[in-house]
Amino acid sequence: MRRSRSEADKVCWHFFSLPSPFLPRPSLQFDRTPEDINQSTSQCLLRDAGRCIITGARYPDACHVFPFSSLKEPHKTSNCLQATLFNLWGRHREERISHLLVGDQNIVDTAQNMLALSPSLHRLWGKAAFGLEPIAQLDNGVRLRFRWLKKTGLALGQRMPEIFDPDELLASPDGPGSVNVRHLVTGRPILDGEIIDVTSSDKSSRPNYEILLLQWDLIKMVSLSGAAEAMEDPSWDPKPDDPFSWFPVSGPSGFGESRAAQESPESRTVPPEPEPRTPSF
Amino acid sequence: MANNWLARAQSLITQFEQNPSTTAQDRTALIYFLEASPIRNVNDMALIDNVQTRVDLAQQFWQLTKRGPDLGYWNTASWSILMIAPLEPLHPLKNWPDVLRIQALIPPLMILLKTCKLNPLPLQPEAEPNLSMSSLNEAYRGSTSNRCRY
Repeated sequence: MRRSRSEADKVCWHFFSLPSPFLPRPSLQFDRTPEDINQSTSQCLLRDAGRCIITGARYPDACHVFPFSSLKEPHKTSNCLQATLFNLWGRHREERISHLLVGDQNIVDTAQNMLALSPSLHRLWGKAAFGLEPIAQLDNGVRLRFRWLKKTGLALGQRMPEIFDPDELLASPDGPGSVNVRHLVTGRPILDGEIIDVTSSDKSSRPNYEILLLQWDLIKMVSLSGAAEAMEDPSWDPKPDDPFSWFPVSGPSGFGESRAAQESPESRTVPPEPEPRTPSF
Repeated sequence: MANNWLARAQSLITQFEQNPSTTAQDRTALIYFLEASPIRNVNDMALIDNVQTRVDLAQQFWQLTKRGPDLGYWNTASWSILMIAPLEPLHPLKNWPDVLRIQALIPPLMILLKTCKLNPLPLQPEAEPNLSMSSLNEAYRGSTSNRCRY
């Protein structure tokens, strides 16, 4: 443990020029008390009336829209967030979002960054099986659209076939079981496009639209890139210095192969022909 | 077509009503289902905007990556960026520095996703929030939250 901390410190110092997350640091919201948890959770559950906003299920989780775990490593999160947002979404959006998610005034652990979801939906959200698309800011809240997300069936970092049209690449994910979701009061299936309003008379309880937009963009990227599956692989360890390090080292079928293919000099100089893939609609 | 559908629905409802096993609860469930109205808002449902422009960009990107091994290769991570990110910073894609610019964005994005573990399971409070059922019911009656619009 001591050794891994030392290595982590070196990496952080060298690549980020920032304090390591393992070093003592000033007050951090991650070290919150049960009272803090109860307060933000209660505010969220009260706003959503103690029910899952999608299925109406009782006893929902108060789910963070932008992950609470981001507060564990604030400097790392801040660096990556700023680099990604600044380069892809521009300075203005980076400035708007950064102060909401990092720094002393962040709202990560407040009802503005929380939604009440049933435990099963919470899990599906984490697997990028669906996303919540913000489509309007209301006077007293936000309007979201429930979207089932499709996948390519390819692992993160895997070489893409020479198909560029997403309509040809994306399909509902295969696999055992069903991810069917129904509204618990009406029995109606929750289909792609369901619209949900999350509102509150209390301004401090309303979900933050900017964070929801960021969540929507990131979860689409997670779904399209295969990162949802990679995140479940504990050996996946992307590093800032290695442009190819975002390949999982091992894990589910295809991860190891893609890493091996990436590291092979032959494969990098002479790209193999991608395997033909039949769209499975 | 519409008449066929209606006739079939009427037939099924008749069968449902005449079935001796049908209870009052079953009827309530059916009414709830129909009252929720199965009509959905399906306007502007594209997951990816400006698809054709992005497809063209992806083709350019792929052509450029074929020029040299140091440019990385056409993969799912770069594809996801080209499909989702705003178009403005993705332009132009004409030379190898443009490809490197996109590829360089992948590590911080992946570290961000890994660090945050997008929407992990919640940190559970040690005690249940102190919310009475009456306060929750009051909140439910008083707001339009968590009501799906079909």
